[in-house]
Amino acid sequence: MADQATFADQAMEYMDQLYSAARRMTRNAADAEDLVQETYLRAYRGFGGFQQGTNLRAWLFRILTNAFINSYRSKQRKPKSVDLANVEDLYLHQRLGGDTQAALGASAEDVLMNQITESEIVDALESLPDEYRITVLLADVEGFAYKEIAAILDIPIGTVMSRLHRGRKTLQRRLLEFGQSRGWVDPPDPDRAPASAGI
Amino acid sequence: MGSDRHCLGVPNQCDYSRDLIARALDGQLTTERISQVQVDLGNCLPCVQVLDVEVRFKLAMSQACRESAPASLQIRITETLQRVVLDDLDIQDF
Repeated sequence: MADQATFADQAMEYMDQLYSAARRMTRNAADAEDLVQETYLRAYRGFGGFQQGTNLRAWLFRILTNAFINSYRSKQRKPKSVDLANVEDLYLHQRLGGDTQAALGASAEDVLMNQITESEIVDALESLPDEYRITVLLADVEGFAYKEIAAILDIPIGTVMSRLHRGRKTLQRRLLEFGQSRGWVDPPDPDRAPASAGI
Repeated sequence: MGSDRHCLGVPNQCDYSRDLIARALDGQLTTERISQVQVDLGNCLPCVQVLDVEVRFKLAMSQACRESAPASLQIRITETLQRVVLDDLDIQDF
């Protein structure tokens, strides 16, 4: 059991990380601030149930994610994310991996990664459906392990890995398309596509 | 080891490298397993290129998405928590 009197001392140091994640979840600074405040209030109220010695950072991210999914997201005017089944149809492994990775040969990838700006990367991430965006955020920005992400999102580890794979490939593909639209990277040559997907 | 599991020159069409690269980057493999993956990838240029893309992409994502909370938010939350603590004390006194 944790003592509520020590909550601020222990939890305030994670505010930058929670705010960064909230910015990418809500895509908006004012909404992100409200979400972080709600997270701290919920965490304070529930701190008596937090087991001291366990992962406070992961616990706070679980509260943040739940607050976003359960209450905040429903208030957003933007439509809810594409559901998982549709994503599976839209972004098959073969297309994500084959075309994109084949086009991202060493030189094309160098050009793209050297030219792309941070705001363009953020735009690409924010264009992902919620489930994928949050999973990629937790892994690639916050550095949580699969097991921790599974606990934060209350999903199986296999689902974490699947969302990460599809989310990352979709992101790379969007950045590649962006590079193509700017003329930095040549469009994929259909003759270079693998003859067999094999996945 | 592993040549029969490799992609034979077709980037990212290799279950072995794709899954292991992701797990290694995400800190999910033991040191010994990572060493074995490095040995295996060393024989396969397309898989090394995939690893390079994944590493750079992950770093770029991490750098692009970090930002500090505004000072005003820190003040707002601190004040809100202090008010809640005082309210709780009032309820207990009552």
